[in-house]
Amino acid sequence: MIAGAYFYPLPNQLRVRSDIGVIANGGRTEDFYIHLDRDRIIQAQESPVAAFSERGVQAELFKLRNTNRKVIGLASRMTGLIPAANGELELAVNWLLLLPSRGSFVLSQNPSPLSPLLAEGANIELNIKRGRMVVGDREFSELAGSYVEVALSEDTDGDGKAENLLLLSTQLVGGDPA
Amino acid sequence: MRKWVVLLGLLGGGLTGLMLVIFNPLVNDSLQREIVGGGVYRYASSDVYGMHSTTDGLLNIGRLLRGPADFDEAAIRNTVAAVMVLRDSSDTPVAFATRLSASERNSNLLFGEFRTRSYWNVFWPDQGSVYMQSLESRRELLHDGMSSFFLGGEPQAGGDRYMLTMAGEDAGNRIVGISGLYSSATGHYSEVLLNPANDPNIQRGELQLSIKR
Repeated sequence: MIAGAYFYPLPNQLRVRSDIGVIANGGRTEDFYIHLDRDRIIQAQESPVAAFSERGVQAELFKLRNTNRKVIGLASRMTGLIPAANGELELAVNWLLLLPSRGSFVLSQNPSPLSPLLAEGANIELNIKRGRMVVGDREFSELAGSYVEVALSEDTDGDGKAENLLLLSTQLVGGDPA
Repeated sequence: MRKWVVLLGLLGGGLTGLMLVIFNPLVNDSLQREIVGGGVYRYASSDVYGMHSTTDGLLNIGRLLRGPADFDEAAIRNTVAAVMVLRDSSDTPVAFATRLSASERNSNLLFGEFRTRSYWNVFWPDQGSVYMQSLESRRELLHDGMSSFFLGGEPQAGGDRYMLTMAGEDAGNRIVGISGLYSSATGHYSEVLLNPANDPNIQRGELQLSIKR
């Protein structure tokens, strides 16, 4: 009975191989993908966050994939307004990424002014948004760095239909022990 | 006759062993104290996706009894994702949050470990946002759910309040500021699950935040 309890298969986490690239002179890169249609778990724009809809609030949940497009975790994206240094409001976006067997970390997009054009993205032509890693735990606890968010469109199934993707490309380096 | 005695002995021994494992009085998870004051928010959400958080789900047999959970992919099978609106004491919505949690790696039934690790992103509109994380214990939920089942009821914990958040350095309980007025915030928090038996489809709880800005 004791052996049975010891070996009883409680819910555990599958460790998926990490697709990490090494950057010259230190640091690592890791790309994460989201298929915007297939991987969206919820877009809580109407409910339950309807109470805040007039304040630019949005909360979304997604499945997260690695470069082989294998699901390896979950991600949430929260969008809302925050006060800027000049007293006006600006748009803030937070990503919370969870890789169950490795840990979690938060990415925060550089706030953008609420000018209608600029609010769409820091680089409108390429639709690239940039930000920094704020905090992480376990495997990501000693890391810091930046990321870019790129909207892509590609034929992932080979069926001739383009699919909208989001790429979160991270560049992280270990913290200075000193 | 002898065969029946042996069989009954085995069954009785097995059941006693199971009860001792689940109701082991020597195992006691150290839980966070409740935080009282201004930073107390309530949530009630039906937007909860992922593994079954019922007793059978905690014992990893929820899929057998209730069918597949929301996520089929092996890497996220034992995770939960949720969106919450946080309300203050006057029931006014003041913030919204996402919570991602995963069962803790290498939990062990023999040692009464039914643990999950939860991560929050809380956003106060027009103010700012924070990240929160902690290790949670579901042991009391399992204990009460099994008690209810052995008494002929549903395998669902029937209490009013269940403190989930664990105390101690290993629990890693912390709040870290992300943006706006909360960008340099620090602190810790507790989460209490409220009336889990009322409606398994709606998760109700209380977040108690101690934040320094």
